[in-house]
Amino acid sequence: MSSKVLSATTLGLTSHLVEVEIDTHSGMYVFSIVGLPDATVKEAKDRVNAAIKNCGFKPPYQCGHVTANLAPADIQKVGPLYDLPIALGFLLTTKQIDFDTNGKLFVGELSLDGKIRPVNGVLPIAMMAKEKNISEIFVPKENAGEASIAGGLKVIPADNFKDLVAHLLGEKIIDPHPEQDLQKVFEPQTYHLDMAHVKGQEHAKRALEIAAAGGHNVLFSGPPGSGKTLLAKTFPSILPPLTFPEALEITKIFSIAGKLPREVALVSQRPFRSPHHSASAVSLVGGGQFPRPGEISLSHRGVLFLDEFPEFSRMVLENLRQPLEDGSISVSRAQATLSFPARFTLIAAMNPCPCGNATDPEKLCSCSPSSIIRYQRKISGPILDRIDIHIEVPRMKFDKLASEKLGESS
Amino acid sequence: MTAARQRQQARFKNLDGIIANSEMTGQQMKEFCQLGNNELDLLRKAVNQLQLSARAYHRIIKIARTISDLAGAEQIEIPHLAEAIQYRQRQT
Repeated sequence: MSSKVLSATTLGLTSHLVEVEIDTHSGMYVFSIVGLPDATVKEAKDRVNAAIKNCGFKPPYQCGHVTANLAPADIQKVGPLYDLPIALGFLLTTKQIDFDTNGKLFVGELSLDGKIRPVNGVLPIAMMAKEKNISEIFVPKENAGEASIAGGLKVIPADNFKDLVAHLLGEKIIDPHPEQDLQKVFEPQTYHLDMAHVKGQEHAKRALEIAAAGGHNVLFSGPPGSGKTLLAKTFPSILPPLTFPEALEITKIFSIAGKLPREVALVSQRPFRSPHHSASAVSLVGGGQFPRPGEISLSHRGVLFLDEFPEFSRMVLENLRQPLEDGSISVSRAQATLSFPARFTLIAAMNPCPCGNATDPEKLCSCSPSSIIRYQRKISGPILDRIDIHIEVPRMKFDKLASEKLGESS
Repeated sequence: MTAARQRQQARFKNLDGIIANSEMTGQQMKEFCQLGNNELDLLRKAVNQLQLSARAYHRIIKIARTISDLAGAEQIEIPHLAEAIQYRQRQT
């Protein structure tokens, strides 16, 4: 006796349909999960056992030999989202419940008491489900808002396993998540920092204006305390507002990386990422055994701010060459070669020398010429060649700092 | 700012996936970034004297395009190009 329930897996940014097949036969208790599962998928058997028992059904450990197959068997399955389809498939196979599985897709992690916990990457799954003409998608309650963005799907928010089973049997109906008015989800942006708060530095602001208008990269160079970081932080306030397709792209990436705040359904601000200079190559450009997006993909359609540019390890910075040119990064691993979008505006800030005063007309620079050259060599020519706007940010004079006059607002 | 982006939107409305000037390919640059003779002269001098790379050449034109968008100009003019050139990295 066997049954089939639909679920999904996500490779890179694209989701694929997964059929969860469950079969049981008599014999000693064995619960095996096949179809290239990783450790989190394999652990599903313990969660499924406990959740089913605690919801008052007969659990797998009393049913002999249980096999769960996640088809297609040649795509790697990662994450705990198969708990829910495996549990439902098991109840169907053992005839404890019966419902029509056609056109229904399930994702969710089970806790031991039967509660359904949120998972990552629901938006790309919902969009794939819509393309494959699936009519109903069952997701953890916390992910319902995210799933409803795909539109044209009946999104059922599942809070716990018992209620979900009651819904499927038609005993107690769960209301579908209301179709979102996308205008409402798409909140206006608010920024804490306004460019008017930066005094002086008019030419740097002009450079930022050009960068914002055309999406060009900028490198600031100047002594410490001259306002490079503040200028960069005010940059998002002059960027054009996000369009809906852009927001969808960003939300997809954030959803897969697990960086989407639970209460937010749609990212409505341009991302501003400022990784610390101790960042590793993988964290910056993406990667890992099952490739995940890195900082450059998380700043897609937004800003990647690299403060203290020469302090980043050279190896890490050289990785930026391809994405700066192509607007995407392809990550090759033994498991798969995946491409993530990475069209960001790079804002980099650096001091001209180790002490920082090399370009200051009044303050004395204490660095030897060779140490200055060594410092500037840390950033390779090919990287500098890809940055279109090089700007010097000088130290501010007292008169300008103390003046009450505000600059031009964003 | 907004006007500059709107100009770009109108320019790229038939091209999929391109939003900003910095994303233009060589083919599209030929179409949208025509330079006059005076502008070409200036650019030739700059490229020769500053020993700029082919990438730098293209990037300067893209920035000049953005600057002329900000200025509301149809064509790239000398001041736009000059401003774009001075943003390039200076050899130290």
